Amino acid sequence: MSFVEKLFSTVRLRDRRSKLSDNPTIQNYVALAREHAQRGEMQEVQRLCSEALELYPQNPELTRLAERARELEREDRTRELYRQLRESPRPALYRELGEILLESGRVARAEECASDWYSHTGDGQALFLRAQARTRRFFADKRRDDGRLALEFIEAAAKSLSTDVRVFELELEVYERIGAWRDAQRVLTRLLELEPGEPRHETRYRAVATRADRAPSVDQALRQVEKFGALFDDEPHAPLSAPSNGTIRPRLQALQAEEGVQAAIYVRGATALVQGPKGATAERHARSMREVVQKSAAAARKLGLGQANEIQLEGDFGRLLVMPSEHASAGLWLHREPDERQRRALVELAGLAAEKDGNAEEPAS
Amino acid sequence: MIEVLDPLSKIAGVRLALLVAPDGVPVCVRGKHAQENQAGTGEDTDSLSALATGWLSDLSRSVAPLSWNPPQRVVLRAARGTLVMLAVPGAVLLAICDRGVSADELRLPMEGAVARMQRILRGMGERPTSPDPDATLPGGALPSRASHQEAGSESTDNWPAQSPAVTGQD
Repeated sequence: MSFVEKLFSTVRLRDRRSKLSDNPTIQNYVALAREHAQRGEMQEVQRLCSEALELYPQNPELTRLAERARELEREDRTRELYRQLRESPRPALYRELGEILLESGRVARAEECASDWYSHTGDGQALFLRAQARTRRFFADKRRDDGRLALEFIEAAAKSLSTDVRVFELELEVYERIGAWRDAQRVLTRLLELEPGEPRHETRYRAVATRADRAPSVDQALRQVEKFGALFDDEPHAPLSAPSNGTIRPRLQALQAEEGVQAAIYVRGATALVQGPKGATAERHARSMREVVQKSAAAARKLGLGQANEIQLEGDFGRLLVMPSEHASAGLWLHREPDERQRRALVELAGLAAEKDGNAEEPAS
Repeated sequence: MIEVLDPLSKIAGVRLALLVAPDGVPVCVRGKHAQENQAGTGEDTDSLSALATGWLSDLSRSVAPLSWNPPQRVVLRAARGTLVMLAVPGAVLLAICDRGVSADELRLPMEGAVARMQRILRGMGERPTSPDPDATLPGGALPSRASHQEAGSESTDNWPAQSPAVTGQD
């Protein structure tokens, strides 16, 4: 920022501060925070946003601004840490970088950082960082191979850090989230050896012991996670409230009425709504679309691509466009290229189930 | 087959382009991740090819009750990338792209790659018979990988020389 720009900015800052003190509205907070952001004062932006969020809790604009400021600050710090690591690699720098990368969800970078760290220092903490990164990836993608690797990395970290409670807590988290209760019980025994009488571990031990008898093996549990794309403690789909027929059907009818559209399909769990085909044909369409979604979601996970967002099939039958979401899927069978509006409509339709969670409504049938 | 995949793999955002036999065996691999035998997804190219073609077969089975023929082009857009597959007689062309790359941008290049492949195969079919006994064998639709190995390309050594996979028909 040049001297003149700085001068103008200082004047604007003073003006906005005085406006804010006269009238502490969201707009005035945002205006002042933006001025600080332009000057690169990210900590000041965060301080202002947290002050404003106390007055206006959960305001989306302030939340977004605070999050963006945090992100920019993390990016600056990441760049600085990479520069320092090039000059003089030290465990403290690696640790901080690893934590920032994990916090910002960049697990692949965090794993790279852990590998570099381990190759430079041979530190057991590097193995723990690698295990944390892979575990995060497994929880996000629910891929069996990631789960296996995460457990291998945790085991390697446990060899170096045999008295570090964090390693065993991470291992316990994996076992509990996949439902491998026998192994969770074993880890809790180890945790109780490290921290005898710790009430938290004792309570968990009692809870886990009741489930250990019929628990699957780790491999079976990982297979289940990959197959269903859900961890043991994920919200079950069935009890969630569903959008009503009245919400879905008009949208499906509108989509189906468009030129070139043969069928509009909505599938949620075991229930489906189909517009276009009738009777047994409609059932077949719903069943096929459900299968397409299941197979594609599993394939995306196995291929390491993460969660499937859109599936499109083309052939002499035309096009089948499906938008899967966590709870429901919406699809169109059409004889021409789907346009952006149709895609958006499907995404909205598929996302309705998630939006409606928490509102009691009659289930779709 | 290198020249078939090269233009495709050089498109911005394309991590990997593969030509795969219908049984999931990779024939030719090009792209920035080909050297390290990784698709940027954590899978090696052999498993990736097998998984992708397996998925394509699953999709064919899923739509079969609707009396639909197997899909010719499938796109799977996911959180960490996009998979585009184009099924041609006897082979599958597969591209893995970065997140944000539009699958439609790959439509023309992929169809171009298929056309190039078929042109090559037609050319091979029209070649005059040679006194070399090996050359008189009915050529496989996809040429032997050993004869086309180059840096940055992947190939299996046991690719059948007489595979009836691709017939070179349009």
